[in-house]
Amino acid sequence: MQVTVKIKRFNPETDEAPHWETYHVPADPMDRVLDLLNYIKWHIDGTLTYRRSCAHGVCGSDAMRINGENKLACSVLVKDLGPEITIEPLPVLPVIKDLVVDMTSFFRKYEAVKPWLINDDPPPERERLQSPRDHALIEEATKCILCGACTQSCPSTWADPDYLGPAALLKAYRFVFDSRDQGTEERLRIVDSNQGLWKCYTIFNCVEACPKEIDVTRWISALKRRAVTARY
Amino acid sequence: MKWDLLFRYRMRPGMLAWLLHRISGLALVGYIVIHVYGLRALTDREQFNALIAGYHHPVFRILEIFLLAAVTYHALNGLRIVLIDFLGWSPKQKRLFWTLSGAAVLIIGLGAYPILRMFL
Ligand code: SF4
Ligand code: FES
Repeated sequence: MQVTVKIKRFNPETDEAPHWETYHVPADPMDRVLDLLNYIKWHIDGTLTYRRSCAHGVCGSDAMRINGENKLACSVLVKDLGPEITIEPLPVLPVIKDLVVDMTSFFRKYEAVKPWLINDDPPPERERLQSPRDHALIEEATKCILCGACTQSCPSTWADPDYLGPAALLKAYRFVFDSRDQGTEERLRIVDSNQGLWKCYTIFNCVEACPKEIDVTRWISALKRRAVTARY
Repeated sequence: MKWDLLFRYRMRPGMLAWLLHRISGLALVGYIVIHVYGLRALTDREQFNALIAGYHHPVFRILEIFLLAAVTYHALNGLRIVLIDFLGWSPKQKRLFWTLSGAAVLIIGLGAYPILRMFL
């Protein structure tokens, strides 16, 4: 089959404003959007710029807006999109070139919730153990690959670029509910705020966007309940 | 706020539910102002009767349907949000949205029927 791919292109060094470019690409229904981008770059226009690394939904580098919704280019198939495909960079992040955005703010928010294990007990001889039941609580949340699709899909992020956003809140959940972690108090102090948990209005764009099918809102809600009960 | 994104980003039930919640919420705030303003007339019998008589105008009848719609949707979706945030019903959010929207349409229809009948 033949698909029409419309891509929003922008080179801040030479262009005044972004513009749309249309490409006609031979494709198999089982091709991924990443294959289309590769075809364009390798056979039509070598200047097209995008990030990708693993090509298998592991590294999280190729999140972009595909047919109006954030997705991973390497995880979405042509057959699920139809013959007309529109590709734009992730919303509200500064564009470095074409589909490559500056993720600095996204990773600042990630760092803000202290995404590491906090435990002052002396380390045991082997690893710190956790029961399967305790692990089940956080298992889904540990699957995040930090692609940014969720945070940039959220209307709260569009309205307030400093909102921590679903990815960072999910990470906070992942450690607050980790039976081995002792940093709950300091983490809650960060997320229990106007630019944290309370700007989540359960809009669910993050859940729709997440390529790892994480129910982000579910875990943010659990963290909200934890933040409220911690006060009593 | 990037307003265009609200309409250009793919509209899924969750975002639709939130948008309608916002719009109905703002409409209700506007209504409260008018409502409280009207209540000021309560101190004077004549004035109050005149005000209420004015509200019988067909335009206000139609607006009443909108009021019913805003209150009904806002209340039911508010319930949906409570269930999601307090009871962790997040996995059921879409089914909840369609079910409660159905209930809202039913309630609005039942309430609007006697009002609309007067115009027939
Ligand atoms: S939660 Fe999902 S969408 Fe968000 S950064 Fe992690 S993998 Fe990406
Ligand atoms: S290229 Fe690694 S996640 Fe898509």
